[in-house]
Amino acid sequence: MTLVRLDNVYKSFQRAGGPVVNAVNGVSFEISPGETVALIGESGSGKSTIARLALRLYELDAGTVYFDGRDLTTLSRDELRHLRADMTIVFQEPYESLNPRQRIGRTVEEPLVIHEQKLTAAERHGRVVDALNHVALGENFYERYPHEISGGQQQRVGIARALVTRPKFIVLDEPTSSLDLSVRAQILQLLADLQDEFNLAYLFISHDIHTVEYVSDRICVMYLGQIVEVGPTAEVFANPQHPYTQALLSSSLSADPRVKKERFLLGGEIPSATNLPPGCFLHGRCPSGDDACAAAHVPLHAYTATHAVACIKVPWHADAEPAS
Amino acid sequence: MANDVTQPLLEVKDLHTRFHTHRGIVQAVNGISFGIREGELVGLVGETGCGKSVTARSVLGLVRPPGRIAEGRITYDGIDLRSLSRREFRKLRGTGISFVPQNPWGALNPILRIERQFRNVIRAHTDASRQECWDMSLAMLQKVGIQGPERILKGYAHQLSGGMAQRVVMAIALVLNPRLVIADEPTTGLDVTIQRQILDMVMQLLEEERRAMLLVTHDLGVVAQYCHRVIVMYAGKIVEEGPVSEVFVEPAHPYTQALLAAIPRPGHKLVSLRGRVPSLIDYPAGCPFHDRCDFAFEPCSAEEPLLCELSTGRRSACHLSKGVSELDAR
Repeated sequence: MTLVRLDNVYKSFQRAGGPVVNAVNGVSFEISPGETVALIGESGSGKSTIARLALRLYELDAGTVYFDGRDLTTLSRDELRHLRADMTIVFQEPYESLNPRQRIGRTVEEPLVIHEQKLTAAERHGRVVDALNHVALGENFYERYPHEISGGQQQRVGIARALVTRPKFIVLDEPTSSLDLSVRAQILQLLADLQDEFNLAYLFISHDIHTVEYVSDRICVMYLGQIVEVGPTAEVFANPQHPYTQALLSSSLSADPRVKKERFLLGGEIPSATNLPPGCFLHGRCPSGDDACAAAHVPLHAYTATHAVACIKVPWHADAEPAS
Repeated sequence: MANDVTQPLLEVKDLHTRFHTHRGIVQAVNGISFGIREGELVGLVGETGCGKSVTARSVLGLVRPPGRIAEGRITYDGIDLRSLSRREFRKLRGTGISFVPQNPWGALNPILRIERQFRNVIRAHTDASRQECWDMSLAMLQKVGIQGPERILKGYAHQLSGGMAQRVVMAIALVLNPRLVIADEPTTGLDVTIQRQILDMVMQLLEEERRAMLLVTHDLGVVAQYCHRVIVMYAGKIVEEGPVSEVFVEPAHPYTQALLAAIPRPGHKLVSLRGRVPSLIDYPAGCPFHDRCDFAFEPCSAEEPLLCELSTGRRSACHLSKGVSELDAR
């Protein structure tokens, strides 16, 4: 069963008088209950835009987002507000995402005030304390302010706020990127425990390869607003097929000096999203790119039953061979 | 790698750097000593607030009020750096010690062409002609992997991507062949593929030309893959030091062990540290790590462990250091 499904989603932005930035260019994937799907890619690959599109925090240019079988793009504001209790988000910068003048308890309570108007004040208080307990902060944080607590604790508040409406799906937008290593481990452990307890579906956005490998069941590798490779995390890490995935994975530096990775470097830098290259977006930087790569757009095709790649050099899975 | 018998190029002895704030005196760097030899690439690692950046700024003479170096000796090539005037220090930067900051945009002047920024640095130390400056700048940009360097030199900082800007800053820092480069998180904001491109180029260049580097970073992978030696800091102190090939494979100090165990790896349980870094204002008695340490015993809360030599070039500040590798932390 699928909980969240994005179907051929597009999104571009334009500043007044400026060029059009093509942030997301035809992205499809799905997430099942209890599953963690990771989006990995470099800056400008469209990860965070997708995070917001998946919750319809941005309007889509084209395509559809389904949540729990409902097409989010057709819902009215009221219907959407009701549904937002089931799908929440945790942001990258814990401090920036908290109101500095609001006590922690009030911050965590706010989603309930908006989305669950039938609750009494006492019920809301109970739910907030419950959420604070679940993130191992406890009731004595209720009256405190964001600046009085550490970065790791601030991120726990962000998680408590995402949890308080008892959602089915949480978007985690770089939830540990601004945290130190030892604190990061605590937060990842907490997220894993909460997922087990509530059967949460996660969309985990990160540029950190070690973190993604550890937390996700499936992974979507993004480049310039497109998914270039998708599959079970262990399979993609063991056997990356797309040249971009290979370059990305080989760029991650192991803390074990005995592990020396072979160099697989791409030439140049990421092209501008205002002026996308024709054909495969990577062909100008790819060591095996040629005229065929530049000629036409390359969609994802099946490489194994569960693993798909957007590269014409990668063989097709036997069952998915296109009719010739 | 550097020869062990040579005198260190940079020597820091019992350095204390403090910040005087309204809440009290923050002991940001609390009595650390280390050396860097000619041609040695040294990583300085630790988490936020451990004092690694303040250490770098202390060496560079860039600590400004309310901060101040309270005690200690910093010697570069026999010169006592603390006795230098600002002017003398400026003379030393560029040719002796140069600095690569984390944020390239803060280091580049937005209204001067890149060419002019190179020339300003070169002419502060030499009498090079305009043409010589141009040639030196061009050659250095090529060495850090910039294609079409002429165009970059004629342009301005805002026309550069983050990766390009950081390369330009590194090229400016390296253009006068300094013997020691101090870099503070030089690739932290960059994407991993760009980080890899830049580090491959720059670290190879330093190694070939036998320049030394102090690389300040929180990224253990960068140090493990590019440095010879690593210094681990915690709460203003050095807790462990040694060759990368030993410290990352068999860490002696429980804090280093905990840091390495906190790196997510599939199939391994994530080990997280309990508690928090101690206050640098009310510094605890004993070992600064004792209340978070799984191996703490009586002396740890009473007596501060000294940084002891375990083997040549390998030091650890732990009461258990000699036996700790037998206690498996992972």
